[in-house]
Amino acid sequence: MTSDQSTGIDAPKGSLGRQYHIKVAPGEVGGVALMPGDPFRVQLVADKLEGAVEVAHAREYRTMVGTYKDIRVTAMSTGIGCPSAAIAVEELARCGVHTFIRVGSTAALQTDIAVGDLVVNTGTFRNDGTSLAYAPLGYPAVPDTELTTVLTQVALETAQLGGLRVHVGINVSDDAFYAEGPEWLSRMTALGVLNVEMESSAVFTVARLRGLRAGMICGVSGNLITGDAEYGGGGNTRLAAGWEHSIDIALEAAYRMQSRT
Amino acid sequence: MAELYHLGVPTSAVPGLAVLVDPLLPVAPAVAAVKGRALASQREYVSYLGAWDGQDVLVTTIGVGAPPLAIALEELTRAGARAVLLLGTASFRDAAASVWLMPHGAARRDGTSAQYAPVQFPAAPDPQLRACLADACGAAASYGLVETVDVLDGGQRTNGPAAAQDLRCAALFVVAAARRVRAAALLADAHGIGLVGSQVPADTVGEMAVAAYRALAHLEKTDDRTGHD
Repeated sequence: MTSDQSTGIDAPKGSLGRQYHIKVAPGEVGGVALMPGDPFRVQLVADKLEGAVEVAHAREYRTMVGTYKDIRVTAMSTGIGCPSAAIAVEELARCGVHTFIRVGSTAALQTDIAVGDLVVNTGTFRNDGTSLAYAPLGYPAVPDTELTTVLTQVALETAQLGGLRVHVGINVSDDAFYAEGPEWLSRMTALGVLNVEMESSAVFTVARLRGLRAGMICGVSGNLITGDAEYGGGGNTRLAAGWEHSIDIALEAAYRMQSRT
Repeated sequence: MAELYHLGVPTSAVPGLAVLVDPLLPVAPAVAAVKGRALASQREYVSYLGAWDGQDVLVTTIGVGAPPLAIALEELTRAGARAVLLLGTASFRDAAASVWLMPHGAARRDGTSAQYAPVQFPAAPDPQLRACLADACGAAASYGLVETVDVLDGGQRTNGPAAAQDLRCAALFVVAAARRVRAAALLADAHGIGLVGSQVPADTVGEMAVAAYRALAHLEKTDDRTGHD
């Protein structure tokens, strides 16, 4: 399976065998990967799979495999930031993964987005360093069109059942969690950017360059404009609900994608 | 009890001295050297509290690349850490080099440090901590420039004097300067990290850790407390 606009650049060296960082070998994983940032959230995905088993846990990369309906699904954490996310995509691809869905956390930059809402992103403002090592800034960090369409459809269908709000649009990937100043955030808000996270720029760019599919659906952890947030303390109940929804939607989208081929 | 958001460490447990350990290095020898006990395990951060020469030291693993390092540094600093030493890896230009590298500056080709300060801002370690580290390492380490990048690029380097390429030092130095904490790094050669797959031996990591602890303890005894130079 290839993405709709692969550039087909050469794969890097050392592509055979058990992968250096993730400690996974070709054939050990399914073709579709759901990727949270946090290794401890891999279990949330695994809990929704039949027969889930852990394949490896090395550094920030925890990998589990199981079955959703009739497709074999991989759950692997990326760790924080684009450098580790790029490694995750590169090495999983060498193991046979062709479709990557990031199911992460994100902070909202528009006032109408609340904690626990879901965001499906259609493109990423590249404020990271990793993707720049792969392609000039003018190269668009965009997810796979078909996968994003299906993710959006499933998310909206889920929202119609009640208790869930979905937003679709552009996000920004930053490299510095604690250096997002108010001027920068205001500029992003004015540009209509919906949300900020730290991995999709690399995931989208690397996947596109390698001829793979990638998409993203995230739960909103806080709103940097309104100050609405659920960080620690009393528990992230709204965010936790968002994670659950995002995983359910990603799995169903992966299944529908598989059914199309 | 308040905890650091990403690290999960109780804020009150963070001492003034900290060592960050590259995920390519085995952390056990560094923990054993200070008889560390586990404090927290959250995301890619596994933290231990130990002591060296009567000084409490926090040992924390970090993830790949500059973003998780910057987060760790920010959160530890907010909890009271005053000096942070990175035990890291780099791809040395001279693969035959057998010594550790103490960067005295970093070429900034990363994204994280750029979000803290313009690229003209120099990425350099704290001179006092660097001097303590040099004393602790003796002939086992040498000075050199490192080039910090955001991707394991298979040997594509800029032409220049950098002795090695790594994924963190520029962010370490710039964030530390911005937050007025002392920081330095000690790097081992990973022989083309990500491509060959070599592992730095545990004994080497233990020796590097001891040098780091000696440097931090020496700093703590001699620090003029004037803040970042």
